[in-house]
Amino acid sequence: MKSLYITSVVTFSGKTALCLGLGLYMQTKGLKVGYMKPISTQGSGLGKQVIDEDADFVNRVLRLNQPKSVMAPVIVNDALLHEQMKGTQKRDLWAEIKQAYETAAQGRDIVLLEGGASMQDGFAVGLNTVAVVRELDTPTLVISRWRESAYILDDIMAAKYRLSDHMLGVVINAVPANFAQDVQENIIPYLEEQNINVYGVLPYQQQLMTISIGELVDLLQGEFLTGAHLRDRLVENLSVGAMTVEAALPRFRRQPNKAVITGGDRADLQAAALETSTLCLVLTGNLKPSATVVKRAEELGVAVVLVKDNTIDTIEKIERTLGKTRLGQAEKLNRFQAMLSQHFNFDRLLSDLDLL
Amino acid sequence: MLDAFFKPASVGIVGASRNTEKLGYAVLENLVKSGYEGKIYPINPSAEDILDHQVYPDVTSLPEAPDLAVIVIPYPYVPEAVKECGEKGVKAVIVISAGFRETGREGLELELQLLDVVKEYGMRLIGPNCLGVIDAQTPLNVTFAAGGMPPRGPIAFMSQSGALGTAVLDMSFAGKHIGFSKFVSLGNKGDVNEIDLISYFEDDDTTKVILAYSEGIPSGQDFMKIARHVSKKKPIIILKSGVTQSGQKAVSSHTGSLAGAEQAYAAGFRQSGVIRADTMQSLFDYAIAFGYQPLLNGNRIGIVTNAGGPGILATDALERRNLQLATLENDTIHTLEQRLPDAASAANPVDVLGDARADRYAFALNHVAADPNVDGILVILTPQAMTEIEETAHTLGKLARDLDKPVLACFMGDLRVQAGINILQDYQIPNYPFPERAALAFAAMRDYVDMRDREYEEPPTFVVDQERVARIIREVQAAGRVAIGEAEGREILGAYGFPLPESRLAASPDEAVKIANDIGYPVVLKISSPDILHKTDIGGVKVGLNSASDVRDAYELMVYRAHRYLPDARIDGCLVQEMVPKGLEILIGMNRDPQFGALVTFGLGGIYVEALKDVAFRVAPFGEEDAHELLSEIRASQLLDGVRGEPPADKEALADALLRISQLVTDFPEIVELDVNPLIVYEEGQGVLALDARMILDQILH
Repeated sequence: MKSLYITSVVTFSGKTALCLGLGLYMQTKGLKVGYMKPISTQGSGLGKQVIDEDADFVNRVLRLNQPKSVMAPVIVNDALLHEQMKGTQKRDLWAEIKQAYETAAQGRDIVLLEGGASMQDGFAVGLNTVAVVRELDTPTLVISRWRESAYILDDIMAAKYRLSDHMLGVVINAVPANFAQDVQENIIPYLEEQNINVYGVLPYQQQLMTISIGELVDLLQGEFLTGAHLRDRLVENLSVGAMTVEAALPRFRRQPNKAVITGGDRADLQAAALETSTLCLVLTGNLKPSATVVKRAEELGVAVVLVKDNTIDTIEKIERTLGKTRLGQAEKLNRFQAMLSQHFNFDRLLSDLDLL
Repeated sequence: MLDAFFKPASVGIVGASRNTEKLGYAVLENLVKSGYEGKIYPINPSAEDILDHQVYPDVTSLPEAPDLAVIVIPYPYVPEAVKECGEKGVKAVIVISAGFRETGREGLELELQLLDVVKEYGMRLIGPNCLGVIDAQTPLNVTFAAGGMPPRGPIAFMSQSGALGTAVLDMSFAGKHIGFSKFVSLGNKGDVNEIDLISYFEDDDTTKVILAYSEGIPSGQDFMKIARHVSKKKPIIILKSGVTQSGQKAVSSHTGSLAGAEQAYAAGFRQSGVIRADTMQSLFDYAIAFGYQPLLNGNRIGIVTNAGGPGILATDALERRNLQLATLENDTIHTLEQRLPDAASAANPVDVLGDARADRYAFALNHVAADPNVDGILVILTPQAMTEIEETAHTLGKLARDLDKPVLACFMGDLRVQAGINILQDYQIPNYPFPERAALAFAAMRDYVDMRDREYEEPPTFVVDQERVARIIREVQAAGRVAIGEAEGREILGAYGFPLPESRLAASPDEAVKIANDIGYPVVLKISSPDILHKTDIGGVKVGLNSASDVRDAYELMVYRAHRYLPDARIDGCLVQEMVPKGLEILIGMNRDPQFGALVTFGLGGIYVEALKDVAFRVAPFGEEDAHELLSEIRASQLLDGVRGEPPADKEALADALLRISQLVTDFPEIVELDVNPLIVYEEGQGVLALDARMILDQILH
């Protein structure tokens, strides 16, 4: 039985996506894949119902049918932290992780271990990525999201320093097109020279950072006034309409396939948005727009969504979610999978893991 | 085609009612009482006869197809009733009933259904949701407005607001000099709109002036074509509401589409000879001046007053609107001096003093009116102890009757002057309570004559390389981009005959140095990226580079900065450009207005545009005269003429550049925004150079 730990240096680098991508690929190669997230810092829900949504999603897509206690045995939330600080924390977290690991590994060829949100997760309760990796003696793949030449090398070299021999290599994610050449010609050779295997360089893809109209509506608990059948369309840009039409039009004209967030009473901005490439009008403040605007949107195939929050709260809600877009739609997962098959060296990884 | 609305041989009223509380009764009563001589067919399934007219149960059972059908039934039944009209062969339909687009979603659907029926049978429709139509000549009144027929007069009035229409009719009953040839309430403008009516009123001899209250013109370009033509024959005065931000919001909410910009309306109206009224008051102030007085041919006004203060007020108001106080002939002044009291002023404004009776007014007026230097006359009267208000009004009326110059009166006050004002009205002399309003009316008359006398010039056509521009646009669109970068923008301008400084794209520091060596130092370096709009904000422009090492350093720093600030931007490299001599910086822009189309902006670059908003606008395409007017319309136009010893700028070349842009944006409607900034203009004969251009293409929708 093999294992592979997948971690990142900064949050939202694409760990969950990579776990899914690797897991699905390995399954097609006939391997039995297990999965768990030893330390989770993003539990949602309360009390006994606390789950890690990402882990739950991977569990479902890979059809593992593992219970919560195996998928994510330790979820660090406020309750656990308080107990830890008051000294009333009596759980043996290490034992729970090890036991979960054993269960997850049972009858599998490989277990994918997803790291926390960053490499620092877990220190508060006496756990951390490096300790887990050492304890379980797991080779580690670091996924690093593109920042800038200098920073990305810092990120990767720091990870190497912390993980030392446990670090198998890296995947560099979300590289803008104009840096692709620099990465290929300079960064990869340099890293390889430092004994850091580069398994893949994934290009920046706007679509992977996008959100579907349906997700947007669910997130905002909005109501479709028209265009409910457009749920699956992916929004590529978000624009806020809170200015004059004069100022808004030039912006709207530069953003294709966008959602425009504006007040339900701003008929002028709604009309301006409809003049340009817009997929969805998000109308805030629970103010119903005029019938003629809705009608025109319908003719143009634009969804109109009414939300209760005001514009500021709506934007905040969306911002909290964006960047951290989950692969919660088939379309997005397919795109990511296609990208991996083109830019990720699966054979090299499997061979380095002795799985070929 | 629209004759059926105004001169029908027969009228059917669907929903005519015996119940005097109902609109269906009011419409029939108005029609009967208007003196209409054609056949009247009240239609109602359950009544026998109303107002002595035989009632028919439905349209189908009428003995003939009426030319006009007026629909006054609850909205759900309207499409079906109109369909019956279509089957019968009715030509025109007025739908008075409300409950359509203005009420929301379902109403909108119902209106669309109604329009389909109208189209299917080739009928024309006024409304729905309107007050109806009045024709003073026919006569015909198919409105539900109270009060019956309004006074006859020279004004054809159309209103997008029915309620405003009722208010205006009520004003006319009170004798405010307002009399109508036609009155149309447009309602939701489902079919017939302002453009149709302006075109129809052109040949209506009873109409001397066309008035409109409008919340939005359906198609700016069509409107301009018609208005340009009709305004040569008779004045068109429009009050356009919804020009402020909140106003635009209201208009969008009404129509579901983006309202045209204020500047586009101003430019579009002006270019088509339309007089714009800013308020309801000025709409009618202008209308009565045009409607009842001869046109003002010239700009010199003679004033006769019995008080000094109001005379000065009038003088100020006239000058502010670029009218002149007429300089009277010496003979006129001598004659006046001989017969007027010593204290009087014989020079314009002619002050006949507070004790002037009607005869003194008559004497002064006759001489001022006869003076060849006077194009129009303003008569001011304040009610003083000796003033003979009514006699003076008669005097004035008789004088004006035989005069081919406009006479406007300003009988100031209220109670005491009212009898005089009533007499003036009998003589068709407009009266204004304050001299400023009379001055504005004169100014509107002068503006109209100026616009009318301007020949419309076809925009010139330059020989350009259209194919090349089409190719660039196709390439940008194929790459899924909407922004046209500087290199592409320059190529487009080049294809349209703009002189450009030498400039080449370098993809590396080495290449930049090579190009700089070719061009010769000093050079300018500019970051080239379709995603960077304001190059200077990120240090993307460097001027006066004098050596290879300067160029290399600048290139590297610029690209580094661009990546740092805009990691996602596509960067093509840097443009190496010939350093051009200093000149005056100009901006030419274009923004596509939803109503009027390409709206071209002209201004001096830099602070003049950004801080002072000193810009002028024209709807493209436009001709040479408009191009030259743009140059003189900006407040800083003197800078183009040369101030403080500076040589004048090459205005011919500037006008030429404006005309070429006008042609470019007309040839390529897919360009929705354009900025040539800066365009450098040199002194007379030295031409212009375009340094930078960016454009935005229409997004391919969905």
